[in-house]
Amino acid sequence: MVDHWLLRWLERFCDPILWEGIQGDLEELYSYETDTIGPDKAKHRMIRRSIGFFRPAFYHKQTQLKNSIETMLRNNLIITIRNLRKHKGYSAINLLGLAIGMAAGFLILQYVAFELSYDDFHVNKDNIYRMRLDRTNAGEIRSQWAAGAAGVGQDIAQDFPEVKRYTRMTKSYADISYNQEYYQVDDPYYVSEDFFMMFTVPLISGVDSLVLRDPYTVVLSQSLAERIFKGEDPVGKEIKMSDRNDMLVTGVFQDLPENSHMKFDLLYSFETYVKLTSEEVRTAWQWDGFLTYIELYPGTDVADLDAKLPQWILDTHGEELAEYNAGMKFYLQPLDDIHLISNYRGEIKPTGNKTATYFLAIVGLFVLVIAWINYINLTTARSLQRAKEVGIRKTLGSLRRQLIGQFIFESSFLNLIALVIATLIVLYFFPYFNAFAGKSVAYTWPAQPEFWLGLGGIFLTGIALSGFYPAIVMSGFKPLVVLRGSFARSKSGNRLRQGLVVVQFFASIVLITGTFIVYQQMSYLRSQELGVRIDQTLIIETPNFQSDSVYASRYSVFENLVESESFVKNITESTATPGSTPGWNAGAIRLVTQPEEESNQYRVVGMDANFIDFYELDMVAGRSFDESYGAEEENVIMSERAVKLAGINSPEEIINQKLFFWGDTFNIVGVVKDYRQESPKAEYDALIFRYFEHPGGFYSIDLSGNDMRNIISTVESHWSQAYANKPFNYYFLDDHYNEQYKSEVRFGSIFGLFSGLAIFVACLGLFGLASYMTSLRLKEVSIRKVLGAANDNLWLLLTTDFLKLVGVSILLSIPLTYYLMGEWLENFATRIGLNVWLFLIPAVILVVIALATVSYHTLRVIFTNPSENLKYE
Amino acid sequence: MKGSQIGELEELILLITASLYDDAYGVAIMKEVEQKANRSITISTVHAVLKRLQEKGFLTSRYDGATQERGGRRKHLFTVTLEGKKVLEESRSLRNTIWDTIPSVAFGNG
Repeated sequence: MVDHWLLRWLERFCDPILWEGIQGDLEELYSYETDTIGPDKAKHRMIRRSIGFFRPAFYHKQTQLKNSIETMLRNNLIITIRNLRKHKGYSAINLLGLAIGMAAGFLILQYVAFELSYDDFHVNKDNIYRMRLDRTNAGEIRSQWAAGAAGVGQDIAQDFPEVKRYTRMTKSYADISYNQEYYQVDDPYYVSEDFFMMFTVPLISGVDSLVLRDPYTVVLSQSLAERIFKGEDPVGKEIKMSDRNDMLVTGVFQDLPENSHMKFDLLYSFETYVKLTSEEVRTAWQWDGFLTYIELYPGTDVADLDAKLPQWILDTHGEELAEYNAGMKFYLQPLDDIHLISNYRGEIKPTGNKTATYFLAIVGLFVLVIAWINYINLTTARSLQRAKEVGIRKTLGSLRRQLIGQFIFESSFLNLIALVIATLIVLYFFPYFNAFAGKSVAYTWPAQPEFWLGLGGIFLTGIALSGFYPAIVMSGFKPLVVLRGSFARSKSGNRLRQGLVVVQFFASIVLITGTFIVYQQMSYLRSQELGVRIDQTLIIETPNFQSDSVYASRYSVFENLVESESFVKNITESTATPGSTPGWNAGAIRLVTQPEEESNQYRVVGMDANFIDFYELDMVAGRSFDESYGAEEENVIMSERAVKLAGINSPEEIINQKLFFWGDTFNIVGVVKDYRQESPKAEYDALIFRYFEHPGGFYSIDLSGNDMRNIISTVESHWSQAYANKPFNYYFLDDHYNEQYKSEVRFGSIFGLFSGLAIFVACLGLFGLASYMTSLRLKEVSIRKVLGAANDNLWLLLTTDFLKLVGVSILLSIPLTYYLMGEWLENFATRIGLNVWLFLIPAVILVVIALATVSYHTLRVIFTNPSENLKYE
Repeated sequence: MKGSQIGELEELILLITASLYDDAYGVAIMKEVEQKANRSITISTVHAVLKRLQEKGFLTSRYDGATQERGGRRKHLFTVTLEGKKVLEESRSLRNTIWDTIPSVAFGNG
């Protein structure tokens, strides 16, 4: 007789009425074939034959079993619901905790998934790299560019066969008009012709390889085309750029999705830029501000290409760089890393922060874990109450398997209800949360299947884990012990529960401390001495004119009109305002007395004579610009940091030295005290100020008064009088300045919100647990009280157990928090140090919260009249 | 009733069951099909057809005749019922009737 697992399965599968005949036939054929073709082949054939019997015709329909499963499920459901109703308080705590935990976890994880999804939609994303540039001077990093040298893309595509194509792009500051109407367009770019071939930005009209090929062509986004042409077909029409050039619309592209590191409404052909500037830009390596993307052939070894770049730089531009003691280093950034990892000069839009994103993922998981631990703790703590039920069921013949089934059913049921509540919460709060997290309206649910699978996986694991342990514990009670009435809690169960409470509070304290440190850092940044006055200041972008003389005459009209208003205290004009890096970056600058290799890079601000007074910058040496000296165009002022960069020790020393700046010589007349030009996050910058009568760029207007709406409309009316219908783009400087740390503020509030939720959920659990634990010691406390114990002693007795757990969690959390927050603070140039207080204060807060939670119950027990609790003895 | 219809393989196995009379069980029927009709058939198919025929009421079955080669299992023996006989006869007479109407020229014998 052959024994094989398939046959055993078949027996179970088969209708028993038919089985004997089938088995007999199989045996008969086997014994016949053993004689004719040998036992091995015979056995093989028998197995193959038996597979043929797994067909519906022979399936044994277990009608009885099906019925019993239904009955069991119904019975489980009834018992579950009865239990939920009987202990409404616990059930509510349990459900609420789980639901909040799940909702919070889901919201955070979808946010994180979205942050991780940036630029995933580009078909060629694995082969596209951005060439980021570091410029060094005497081996030290001087500037780090997202938008680097102009000519590098064209050169690398020529010199390396593995580069399939390149795209370069640079920002345009021109304004747009069509039929004398001006349009506000955020960040137009000049891009080279392969853009649409490289990136997955579908064209609604136009041919990808042709739309950007010729000079004076432009491609619009769908929404901008709609805005300008209102339903007409824009292709073939012309729009005006800066009132000067007619630009032919050659195509329309679909608006870029939110999860792209790029954002633009309008792209000019790069050839236009070449025509407007010079042919040199095609190959210039010392001209920065150009984003360069390269696409490699599939299968290219990127590390290999990366390794060849330094030598390539030396071979092609080594001599030129050595002259200035300068160096260049390119980094190949994978396209889908750009959003989270990169944050350099000239990014298209503000990038995300990898550390912050991963922190949030951790917070999300913490909240979920805390909720599930609550469930386990509350369920096992209450198991005593159900011990008798288990005992009686066992006596009546329940198998352990069935009891486990019952408890797992209960927890799945509860988790499912919680999931439904959580879904409702998420659906309701989704838009609010995303507004809070700074996502635009266009934002929708994450589309990656991995996200949904992962989420499903996390929930299933959580449900299984939180259901399994209580089920094992409760189904393991021994009926005899339980029903005799002398059943005590097991030590090991207690220890596990304590362990879980420690985990919960560990997570909570990490979150509280994290939030605390984030807020401390933010307020530290805000309290920084800026060295520049930014309040009550209106900034207006200056208009473009065909010639400087037209502009100068119009400007005095505007200036006179505005200055006549009583609410205007002062007005100045400059190429850059505080709150952003000056766009003018210039290299190869040195003192005339210095050799060429001591040249450096500086940021340059062009300004009129009013600027330094206007922004209340302090002079540490020399004087500010003053037109009464005459010929101020030949003078410059430097910042302290710039003096240091030039290698001069004291500000006084540099006064009246000569500065060599792009072929011209300037006299240094003053030194300005360092101030936070860009933001408190960044280091002081090395700045050079140059005088222009009309630098162009921005007007800063110092206002007094509160009725801003009225003030703006007055200014705007003066504007139209002076500049007709030129676009009036304005903002308030303090708002603009605060934009700089908007993402940190947002991170802080998300962190704070979810830490709050996590702590709330953890306290819910502690509340339930404390209520149960004290109820167990009701009689003990009453007897102690009768025997004369003081209230404060009793309180200590009941709370020390919990306090110990909280204490352990706090101690355990410190190393992790120290490490994580240290990492986060690395992001800031000016930052707080991690001192004892940053850990102590959150710890005290947590202890107070935990004490309050526990004391609610302990005090209630202590203040009950002992006779209430003892009268039944 | 759909059950009174009968397929080609069903008819063949029903006929063979009848011809084997008192020893009609899975293996015997399978071998008979292989020899008489010269076609290969798996044992599971035979069982499936037998079960279907029994459900249609053309066969009854009993267990008997355990042997050493069968590992001591009894044979599942099948007998044709009256219904079964009727359906075989109907099918035969239908064929005969149709045969009779075929003009001899149709097969090129004229």
